[in-house]
Amino acid sequence: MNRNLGLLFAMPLLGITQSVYAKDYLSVAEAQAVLFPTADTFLENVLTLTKDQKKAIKRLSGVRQRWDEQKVWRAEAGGQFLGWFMVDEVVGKHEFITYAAAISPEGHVLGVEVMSYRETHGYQVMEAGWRAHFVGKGVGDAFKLNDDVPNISGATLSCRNMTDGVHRLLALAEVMLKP
Amino acid sequence: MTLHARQKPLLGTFVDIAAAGERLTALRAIGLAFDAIETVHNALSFQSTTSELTRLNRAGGQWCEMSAVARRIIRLARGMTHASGGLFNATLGGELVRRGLLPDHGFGDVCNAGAAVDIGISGSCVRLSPGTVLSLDGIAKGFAVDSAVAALMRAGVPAGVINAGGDMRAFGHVVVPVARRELDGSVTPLGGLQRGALASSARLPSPDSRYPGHILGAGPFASGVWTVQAAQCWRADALTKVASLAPAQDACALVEKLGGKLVMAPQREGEAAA
Repeated sequence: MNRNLGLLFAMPLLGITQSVYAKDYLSVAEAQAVLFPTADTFLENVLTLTKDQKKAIKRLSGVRQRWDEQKVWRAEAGGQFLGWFMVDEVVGKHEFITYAAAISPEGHVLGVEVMSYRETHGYQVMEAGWRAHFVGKGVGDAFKLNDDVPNISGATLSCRNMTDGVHRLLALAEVMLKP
Repeated sequence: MTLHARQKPLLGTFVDIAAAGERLTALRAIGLAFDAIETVHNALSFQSTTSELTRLNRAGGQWCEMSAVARRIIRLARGMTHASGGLFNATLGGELVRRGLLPDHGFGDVCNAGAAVDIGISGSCVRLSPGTVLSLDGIAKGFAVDSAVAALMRAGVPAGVINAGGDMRAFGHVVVPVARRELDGSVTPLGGLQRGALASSARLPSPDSRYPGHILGAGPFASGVWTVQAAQCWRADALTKVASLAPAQDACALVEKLGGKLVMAPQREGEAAA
C-alpha cells in the first residue's frame, strides 16, 4: 500500500486538460416521483408559445423565454389535480443545468430538483506531491483522477440563474396554464 | 456501495446530497436531509424578511425568543468570534448592509462591526447590543451541512456526502474526490475526503455576480481561495475566514489551534507548489 502511494505521489502528473464537470441526478420519472410523491398520473402536453405570450412571460418575470415550446405534465392523484411538472434548462456562461420544477394549481413553487448539471472549465491536474499533502492529513487515498466526478469547493457559486429560470416558469404557468 | 444523489438550489447556491444504499431509500433519506437544510435556511437567512435572524436583527437590542437550532448556531458563532479574536466575526452585518451586499430590512442605525460581547444568550432568548447586526451566512451554510449529515444518519444511511456550494462533509466509508475551483475558473484536484468536512472561501479581486461571497477585514489583503478541513462543516467554514485574514505566517497554527487544518492557502507569486 505504502509502496503504491509512494509511486503515485512520485509520478509526474499530466499537465492541463480541458474537461467537463458533469453529473446526472434524476431521470424524468424519478424527478416526478420526488416532486409529486403521491401522484399516480402525469399527463404530458406540449405548449406552443406565440410571440405575444413570450413577451408576456418576459414582462412578468424579467427573464427572456428563449424557446417556442414547453413540455408540461399535469400531475394527478386519483383524478385530483396536484399541480404542474415542468422540465427546463439553464444555459449560463459556464454551466448547463437541466432541472424540474413543480408548480401548484395556484401558481406557487412546490419544489425544484436539478436533473443534470454540467460545467465546462479548464481542469488543471496539479503535481502529485502536492496532493499527498492533503491525503496525508487524515483523508483517504482512493481518489483516482478521471475516475469519479469530484465535489468542488471554492468560491460559492450563485444559483441566481436557476432562480431566474424558476421565475420564468412561474410566469409561463400564469400566462399559459391558468384556467 | 453506490452513491445516489440529488441537487437543489438552496442557501443561495447549489446543494448536492449523496447517500449510499438502495436507490429509492437513499433518495427518500436525502429528502429528509434537504428538509434539515431548509429548516436552517428558514431560521437564519439574512435575505429573508421573515427569518428568525431578521427578527433578531430588527429587535433593537431587545431579547428575542429563538428556536433551538438558531440558538445553537448563534452560540457557536459567538464562541468562534471570541476564540479567533474577531478574525471570524459574526457581527459584520452592519458593514455588509452599508456596502449594499446584504439587504437593509429597516435596521435603523447600525454599527459596522461588533464583538462576541454584543451577543447575549439566556435560556431560549437571544439579544444583540443596539446597532449590532448578525450575519451568519457561511457558518450557517456549514451548520446546515452538519444538520443534513445528522438527518441522513438518523435515517440509517451508512455513508454519504453533502456539498453546499463548496462547504462539504463526508461520513461513513466513502472517500470523496474533491477539487477546488480557483479564481480563474480552473479546477484543481485536492485529494480524497473521508469522515470530515472541508470548506473554502474566496476573496475576489473584483465583484462577480457568479460568486456572491465576500470576506471583510481591515488592511490590504491578497485575493485568493482558502481551504480548511475540520470535523464539522460550520467550523471549517468559519476557519476559512480566520485563515484568509490572519497574517500568512500565522494562519496554519491559528487554524489548528481553533480545531481545523489549513489544507491550502492561495499560492503566492514565485512560490513553488509544495
